[in-house]
Amino acid sequence: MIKMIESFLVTGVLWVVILRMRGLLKPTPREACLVAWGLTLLVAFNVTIAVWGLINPTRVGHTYLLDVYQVLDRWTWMAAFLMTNLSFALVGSARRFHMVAGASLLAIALLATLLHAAGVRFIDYSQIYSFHGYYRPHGILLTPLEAGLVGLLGWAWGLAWSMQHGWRHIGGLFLTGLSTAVVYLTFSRSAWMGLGMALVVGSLFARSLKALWIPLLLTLTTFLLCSVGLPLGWQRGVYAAQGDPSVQNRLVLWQQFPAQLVRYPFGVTEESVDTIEQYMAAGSMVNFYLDMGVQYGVLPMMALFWLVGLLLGRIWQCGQHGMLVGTWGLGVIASAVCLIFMNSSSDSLTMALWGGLWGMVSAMEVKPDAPPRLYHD
Amino acid sequence: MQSLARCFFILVYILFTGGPGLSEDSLLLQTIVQTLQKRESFFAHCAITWDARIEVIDYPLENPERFLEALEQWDRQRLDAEITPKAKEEFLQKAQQTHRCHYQTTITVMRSGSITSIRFKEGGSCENGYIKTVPIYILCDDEQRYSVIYGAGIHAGVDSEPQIWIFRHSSPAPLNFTSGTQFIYPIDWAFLANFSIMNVAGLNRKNAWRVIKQTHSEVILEAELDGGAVYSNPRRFRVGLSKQHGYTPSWIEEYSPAKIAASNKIYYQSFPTIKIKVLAWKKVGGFWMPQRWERVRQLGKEMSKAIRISHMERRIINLYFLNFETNEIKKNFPMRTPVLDFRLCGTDIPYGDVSEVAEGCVVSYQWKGALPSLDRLEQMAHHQALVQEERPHLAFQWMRRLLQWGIPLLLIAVGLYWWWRTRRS
Repeated sequence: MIKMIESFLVTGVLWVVILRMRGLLKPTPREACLVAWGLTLLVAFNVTIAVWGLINPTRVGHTYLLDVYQVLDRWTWMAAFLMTNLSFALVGSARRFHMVAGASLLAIALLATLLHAAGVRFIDYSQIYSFHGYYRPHGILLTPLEAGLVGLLGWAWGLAWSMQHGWRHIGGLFLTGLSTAVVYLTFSRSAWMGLGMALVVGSLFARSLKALWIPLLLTLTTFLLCSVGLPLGWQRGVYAAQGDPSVQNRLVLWQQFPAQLVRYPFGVTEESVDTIEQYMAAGSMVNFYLDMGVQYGVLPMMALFWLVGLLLGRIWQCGQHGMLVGTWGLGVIASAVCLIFMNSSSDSLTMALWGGLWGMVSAMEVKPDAPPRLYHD
Repeated sequence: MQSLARCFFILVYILFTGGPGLSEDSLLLQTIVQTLQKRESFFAHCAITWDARIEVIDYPLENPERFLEALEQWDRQRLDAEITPKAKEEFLQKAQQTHRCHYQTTITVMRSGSITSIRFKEGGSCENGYIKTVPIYILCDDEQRYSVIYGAGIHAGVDSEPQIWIFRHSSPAPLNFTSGTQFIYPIDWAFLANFSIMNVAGLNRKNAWRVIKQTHSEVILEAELDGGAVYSNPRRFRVGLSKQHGYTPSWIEEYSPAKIAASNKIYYQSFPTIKIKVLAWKKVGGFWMPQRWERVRQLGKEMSKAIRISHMERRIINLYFLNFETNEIKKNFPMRTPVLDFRLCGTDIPYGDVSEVAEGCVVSYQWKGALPSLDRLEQMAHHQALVQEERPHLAFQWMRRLLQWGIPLLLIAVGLYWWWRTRRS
């Protein structure tokens, strides 16, 4: 019963997000301000517990903060989505705060990952991710998968800035290169897939937005340079087809997905499964979208597909018209593809960052009759 | 008639006890017990500082394939983890190397009547020549029958911050408990603090020790212990007492069981788990004590034709300082250190069984300079139970529910209101 209520609640919140994105919810600026700041507090609180818990797990484990975190955790990305959607559309003060806070956190996460790659440790990592003697960096994030995903968000930020003029153009190009390097260094094939897909879509967008070629070529060049400097990464790519257990795990789990969904249409709970194996199989599909189905049921999963479909459709439309939403949207495409092969639900910082980006892109104004290029080539 | 009865009694005594030979052994044992007891009493109020140089060697794994299998089995349980076979190989490679480390520590033993304390630094795992040491402080009060153990990373190996654990004992603690560290075993106290070896690990009962050999220079005794509250497995002790040094132990060996047959017959390993040997002596006030001694602890198992040692620790321990004018031993544990008090859980809880004690009997608090009495501890346990019972049910559970259901409900309600208003307009 509780699981069913939870399933309806998640569907309800997703439905609110979808309606807001379709422009069917029109709050007054004061209402939007109240909700946006409330959600900001919620997300900030959860991210703070998550980061603190990573740095000092014993201290956090001994308090009720961990319980609070576990309760709030599931709402983080949806709250971040709605928060930035409202603030970018209606609340100037919250928008400025979200831009500064989001950019700072993103920059810290990227730098920490780079420093981790250089051997600087920030936290006492409980698990080491390595491949052929190379330690895959993840800085202050939970695993290299999350670091790769955050690298994609940084890449989108760099791409969007490089479309502008002056110092932002230079800074944007620098950020594009830096984020691409981070994506490569994490050896996260999920992030590579996301980047690859975004590059393909980006090159299609570049037909109407010529300035996009420069950061896209820079991305390719940086990736190739990293490949030459550290060719080991490609061996990991090849390894995916050579019996890599992490790939096999995903394939086995995904095969079990339809049966799980039929058996538990409102999501799996610890109480509803018969064996530990079932619980483990239902624990994570290592796929954000399928996990939504397994953990909360069919309805939230359908709502999520609708939301992602709407978002991608809007990005495709805007990108073809050479609008800035399309450029930022490349980050959404990259992260959406990346999430097919991972679920960042254990890392609130990552969830807040990508949820925030998706919300921001969903709030960017779309004018179908606007001139095809907002910025000079 | 009376003399006949006397003769009959003597005959029966000789028949059943083995005659004057055993009586001689019994007399010898009695002499040894008394001499060592006198010696123990002589050192009852003293401070002894030892300088220990320690070498730790971890030998390669015996069966790397099985180890890898276990590692992979563990790995399968973490679905989202991407530990590659290469990483496993690296780990395995480390396990297949010999790791050798050295460290030095000062061992300070203080005895003041019924209270005994010891301070030292214990080395952790040895890897690539590096070993991390953590300070340990143990205090035993035989009158109050408790022991206090302070240290980091010793309690079940999970705590990185120092903690204090407190236990209750039915017999004098230093010789009759396992401290939870691999550094101090009951037999060590006979050398470190000059306790009588005859009292170690509950072996002070009648007929526990038997004389197995006697030469012009030494008497060799042997005893077996069924484990009890001190050890989890049976043990065999063999000790050489130097006649020249007033029956002070000149060497001791502790044997672990290799296997226990279905008939409960115990087969001991052919090599000692711990071997202590005195290398030089010192005479203090008519009693002898070790000036320099060697202790070797080795873990391994017997193969069909050889012995495979997996871990070895060799210590050379030198007497650095001895003082008979000791002050009161203070419980100088750092203030506010987290304490887990097991005294209400019963006496002589084996260290390895602490996870099995009833949760309610373990009282946790912060060290405030003194040990709470048992009455006070019971009050604290009662209060702790009330707090644990009340807190989640009232304040926290209420807040948890509010967060769990309140936030999405609020968002949905706000969304519905906005939708209704948009449609109406």
